[in-house]
Amino acid sequence: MTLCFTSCNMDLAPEDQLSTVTYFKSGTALKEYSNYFYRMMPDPETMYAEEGEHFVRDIHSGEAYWSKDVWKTLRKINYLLANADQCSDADARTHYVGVAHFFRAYFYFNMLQRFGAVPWYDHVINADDKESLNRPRDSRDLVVRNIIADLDMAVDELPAMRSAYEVNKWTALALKSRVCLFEGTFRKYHAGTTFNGGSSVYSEVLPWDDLLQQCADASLTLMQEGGYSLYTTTEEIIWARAYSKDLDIKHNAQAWSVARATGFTKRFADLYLMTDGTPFTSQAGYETVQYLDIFANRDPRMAQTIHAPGYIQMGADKTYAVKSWSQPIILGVAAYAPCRFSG
Amino acid sequence: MRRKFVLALSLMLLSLLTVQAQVVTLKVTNQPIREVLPMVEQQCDYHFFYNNNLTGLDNLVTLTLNQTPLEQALKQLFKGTGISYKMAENNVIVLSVEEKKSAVRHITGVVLDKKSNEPIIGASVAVKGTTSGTITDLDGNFTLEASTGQYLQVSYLGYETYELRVAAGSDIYRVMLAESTAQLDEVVVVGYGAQKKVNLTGAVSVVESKDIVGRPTPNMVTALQGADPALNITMSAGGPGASYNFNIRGLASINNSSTTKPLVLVDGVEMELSRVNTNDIESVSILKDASASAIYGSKAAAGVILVTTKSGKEGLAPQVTIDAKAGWKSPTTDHDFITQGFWSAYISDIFMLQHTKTAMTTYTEADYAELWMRLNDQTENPERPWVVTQNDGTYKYYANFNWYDHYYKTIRPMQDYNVSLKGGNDRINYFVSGRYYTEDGMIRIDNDKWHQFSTRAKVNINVKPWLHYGVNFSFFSSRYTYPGTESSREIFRVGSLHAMAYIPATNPDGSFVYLNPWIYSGQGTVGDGMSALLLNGKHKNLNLNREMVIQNSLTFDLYKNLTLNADYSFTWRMKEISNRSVKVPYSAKEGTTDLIENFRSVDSYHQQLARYQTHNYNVYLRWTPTWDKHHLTLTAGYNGEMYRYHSTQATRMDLMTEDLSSFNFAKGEVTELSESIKTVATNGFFARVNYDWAGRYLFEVSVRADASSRFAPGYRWAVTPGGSLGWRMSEEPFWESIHDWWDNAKIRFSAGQLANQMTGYYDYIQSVDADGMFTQAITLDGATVLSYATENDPNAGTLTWEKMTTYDVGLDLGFLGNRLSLTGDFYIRNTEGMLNTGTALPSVYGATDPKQNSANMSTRGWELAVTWRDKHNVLGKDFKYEIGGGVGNYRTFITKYNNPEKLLSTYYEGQELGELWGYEIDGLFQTQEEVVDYLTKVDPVNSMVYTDIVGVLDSKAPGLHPGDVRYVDLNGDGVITSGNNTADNPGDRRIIGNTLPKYNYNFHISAEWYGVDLSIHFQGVGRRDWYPMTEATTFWGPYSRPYQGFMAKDFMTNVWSEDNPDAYFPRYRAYEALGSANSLGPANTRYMLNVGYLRMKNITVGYTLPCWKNVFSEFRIYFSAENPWCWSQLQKYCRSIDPEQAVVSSQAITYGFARTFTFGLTATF
Repeated sequence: MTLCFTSCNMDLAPEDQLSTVTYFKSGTALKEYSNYFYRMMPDPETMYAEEGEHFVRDIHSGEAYWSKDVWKTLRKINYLLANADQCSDADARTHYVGVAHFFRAYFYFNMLQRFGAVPWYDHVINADDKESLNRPRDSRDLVVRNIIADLDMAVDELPAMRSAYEVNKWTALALKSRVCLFEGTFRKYHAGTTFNGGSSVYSEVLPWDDLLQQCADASLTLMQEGGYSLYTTTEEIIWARAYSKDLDIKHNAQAWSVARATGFTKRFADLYLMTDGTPFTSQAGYETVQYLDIFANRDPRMAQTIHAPGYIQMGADKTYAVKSWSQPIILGVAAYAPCRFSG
Repeated sequence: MRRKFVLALSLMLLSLLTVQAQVVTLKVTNQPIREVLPMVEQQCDYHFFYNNNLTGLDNLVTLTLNQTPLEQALKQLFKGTGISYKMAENNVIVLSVEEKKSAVRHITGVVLDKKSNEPIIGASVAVKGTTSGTITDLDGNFTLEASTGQYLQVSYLGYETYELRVAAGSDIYRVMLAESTAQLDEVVVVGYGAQKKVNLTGAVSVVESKDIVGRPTPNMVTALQGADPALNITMSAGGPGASYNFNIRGLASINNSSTTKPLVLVDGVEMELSRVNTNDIESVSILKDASASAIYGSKAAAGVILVTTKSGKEGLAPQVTIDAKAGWKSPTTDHDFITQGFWSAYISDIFMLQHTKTAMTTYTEADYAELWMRLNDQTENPERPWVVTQNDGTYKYYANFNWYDHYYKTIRPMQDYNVSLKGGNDRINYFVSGRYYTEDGMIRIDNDKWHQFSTRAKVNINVKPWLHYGVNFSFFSSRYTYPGTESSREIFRVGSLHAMAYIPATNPDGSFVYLNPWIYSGQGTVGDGMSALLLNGKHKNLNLNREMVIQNSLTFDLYKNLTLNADYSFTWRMKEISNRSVKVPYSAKEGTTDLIENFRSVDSYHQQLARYQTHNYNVYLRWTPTWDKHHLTLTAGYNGEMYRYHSTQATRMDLMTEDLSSFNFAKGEVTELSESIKTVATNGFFARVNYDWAGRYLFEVSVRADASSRFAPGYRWAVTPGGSLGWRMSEEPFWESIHDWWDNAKIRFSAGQLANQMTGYYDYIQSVDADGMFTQAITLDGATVLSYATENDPNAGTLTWEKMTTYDVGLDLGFLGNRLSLTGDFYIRNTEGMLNTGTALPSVYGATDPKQNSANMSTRGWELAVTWRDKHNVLGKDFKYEIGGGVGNYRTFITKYNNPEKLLSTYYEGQELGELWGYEIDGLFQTQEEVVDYLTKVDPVNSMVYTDIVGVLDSKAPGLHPGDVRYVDLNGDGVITSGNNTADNPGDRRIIGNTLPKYNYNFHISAEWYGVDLSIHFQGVGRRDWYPMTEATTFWGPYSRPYQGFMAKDFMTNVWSEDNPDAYFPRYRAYEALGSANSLGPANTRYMLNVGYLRMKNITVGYTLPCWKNVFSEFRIYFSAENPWCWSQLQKYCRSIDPEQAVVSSQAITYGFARTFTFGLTATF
């Protein structure tokens, strides 16, 4: 009868399900787990629906940007980072820890742009961790430094492969470049206001020129070693979201750009430089240039992005100035109709 | 003289010589005697004369005979066999086998009282099976003649009869007679032991075997309904193998999952009530309060039912009992539906016309004339066929078809056979039984059948005076084969839709009817395809269950009054389910056959195989010291259990043949292939102390500590204590004066706490799901869609047990020689820490809020049971009778719940469980003036109850009319709404009733006289409110769906019209009951029904034949009916719903409930 004392083992694990106790041991497990982070990639519909600066919309939509569902991604990122040690495959571990660092930086960058400073979490929050749950904003400087630190780690950890869809070293460099540019210019033009850096746990707030320098450095590395080139079709793409008819992965951005005739703002269109590198806005009378003359001598990428004279829509046989869904020639909500997603 | 002498001498010499001259010489090895005989015949001048079949002739013999004289040779030849030889005249030797006439000899003995060792004078000692016998003398001695193998039957009034076998070589016997247990000394089985009924301090109720054994039910579930007012059993359907829910004293927790069901133990092993052979049952104990159940720990949170099966016993000659019964089952409800096509079409049309501008059917005046012509044709008249083929081949239907009879069999046979054998002596006793039960199901087409087989074998052996061993083996098997879809309920749920009386089930060419194009949408799907599916006959299903339990137990008598008990049981169960479905053909047009396109008409095969295994160990000590008037019983021990469940299921599409089902020839997609494994381990330590002083002051305390693998380490243990006190006032000296008429008075009080594990199997471990798919799909390489792995949301690490604390006060009284007995209990049960969503966490948490143990509820109730049993001598024979009854009630309130706004969509503090919120209707509008007057006070457009009446744009007559229901604006705000759907602002609703049963009651009468026995059991519920929800088509008929085929013949007499203003139902209008915002959709006072009922559960009349006493010790024939009669207020409004069916769900659609009538006989020999 003594055998029953020993055999009634209380530590039973599920046998028909993977559990967090056993799951993270393999490299493929880390990969599968990190796939979840890709949900943060923007898709054209949300871009149109967002209250972004670059698009004129005809409808407001009020997404919740601070919901459990949004913070869920961060939770999963931190969960992977906490459990990655279980993985026996060192290469996979480094790779996917890098992916996690990248996405954590991306997450906080999005939060930074939308809300400014937010609480920084590098751990999974427990239901009874009241301190973490109720933490107020961390300083902006702390958040930015952590973002950059994450990106630096990601650059080291991610493989140097070329892929337009899968996160890699070059994606991390590109993001670092953007983050530093954003924050550097933000601090430069908000110097002296309450928005500047805030207080810091470090001896001083990161100065804007330091940030811009980091941006330049990252960009240089990317340009020299990345192997990307400008102005051709696929070589240019650093990170994109793929669609496929065969896999039935589709989007309906046309619903916005064609049916609802959304367009770019003039402010956005004005950002494109002239071919000689000077800004369009330094031209005299730039506000009142006629539509057909706007596109003269401009950065070729402008015509790639916005319907310019001579643009032939896919499946059409001649050019239209602007085409809308049901009527052949009308002006939509804005005159700057995007080329992409309009046919 | 001398010559005579010489002659005689010479003759003698001659004969001597003749005989002596017969010698045998032979040598045989292992040859049958039969073959040796001719050899002897050859050598001697003798012939053997014998019966060819003589026993022993084929015995093999090895002999070496050398000139052996014949006599000697024959002796040797037949040695060891029973063959004897006789020399006869004419040199013939006759062989024969001696009849073993056991010698009858003197048997003597003494009969003593087992307890006191005193001799019993005048005890009867009879030789069983004969008329001989004697009586013991003043010293208890007896002598009589008997032979080996016969049984002596020793009996004396007030003592248990003892039977013993006369053994060879033993002539002197000593018989110990035990007193018959009188009513009060009755022993009740409790946890890990037994107690005298008079000493019970907990709330325990006992069901006697006579109330269950022999009833024509396949298992004891329905037989236990009404056994005690605290026991609530609801069947989920009336068909064979139906599942059931049961609780003791109401729900113990709002989280009523499988872990909160009462614990059922059969001989100490956990088993389902539905798998126990009713005829094996000796007694059932229902442990109602916490103090009695505490010793079972965490599993007993909802109460315990202990079932004890019959056993053999010492002093019982082998006794065989055969019980055979056969009979039939029929529905408990009416099914007198409209079968005249004319009326069926007409009613659906007028209802529909009030709703939209079109009628239900596209039948013209001419079509109606056709229907009218056929009105009284109960069977098809060839001059007026039921199906008329149109010019384009389409079939048009003018039938008077009885769909109910088409689907269902109303009289179906059942048979039940039971055999048992029991007996025992002082070393060994045994009980063996076997049962076979079969019934035909209700579905007429491709009839469903239920077969059930069970067997049990129990042997107890006194290996040594201090060591007892017992083995208990039981096996149960049930097999249910049925047609149609996987769920046999589908036929009942959708079979009647569009199955209008004017549509038959088959077309003239034999093809199946599915599509009825003659309705406004052109797409009437008759029976949703169920009829075609059944007639097609290729949908087959099997449900197989097999369970085996083996239990081994050892008892060591360590020391005087100290025993060590150890037992181990292994339960193995297997469940197999297989479902086959095919594509079903139909025809709506002559010469054209199509296949039904719906989810039931697919070619697929599904199989599930599940195995369950449980190991259970108990080791405990029991010590019963007594000194002076102190009696103590100490029990302490350990219980361990391991459970494992493993199930595999697979489904594959497109099989190559419709007649066989196997994955081997399925060529389609594998749509399901999965596995499920669950394991649980529990450990428990328990101890109990029972103390009584002179049977007057009673005390009991018990405790158990349980650990379960379901919880995280550190949160595993739960301790469940229980205690009770009792005072038997009737044993006090001051009671002496009234003791002759007031025999027993005991007051008792108990308190205890039980714990319930309300989680899944591994809730503290997070599982990982590796097949996550994005709603907006992503691909990283353009070739594969990205999937991800993610863990499920964490549960609070602090998840712990729910606790139930029960306080019980009880009274047990006995009067007039215990002929009148009374038991009453009052109790309070508080449940704390029920799982509930906790306080909402900030968004940064990033996962769903974990549940917390934060909800409480409290139940208050009482039970009362009274029994009168007596015996009189009428016309020289005993007339025994018994009348008894019980009643009980309880109410449960939620005392704590995280719902600060008191939203009615979930629980809230102060809520009474089962409360039904509804609107008030004060009648029907009778005149237009009343409508107009109402409209000045209430705005129906913005109300939530008249949506269809006012809103449907193309309705023929929108708006309120005379005949419609009138909702009362309780809060005076001019609209009928549900407010904020909170308890403080329910709009125009109030609590109109309660859906839980109120006042459970039961009573029974039994009587026995002159060999005739009668017993009747009634069970009932005083009040239970029920509102027929939107899909209760049996009740609402065309008010719910105008194409509901089953309508009571007199349905229209209950429908309002100007000539029928006092009708029950309002102005006819289709879909009024289908939408939850339509006038008949939400719960209201007018159509809320009281489905309380009084049901005769069983009536049995039997007669024990007085003859054949030497062969059968009992031969009885009987008639027994189960559920023969039922009364309910529901029947006033709807006779097609059984009140027990109504509470299964708000739709009241289940496999029909049945009543059973059987004739049978029981023979014991």
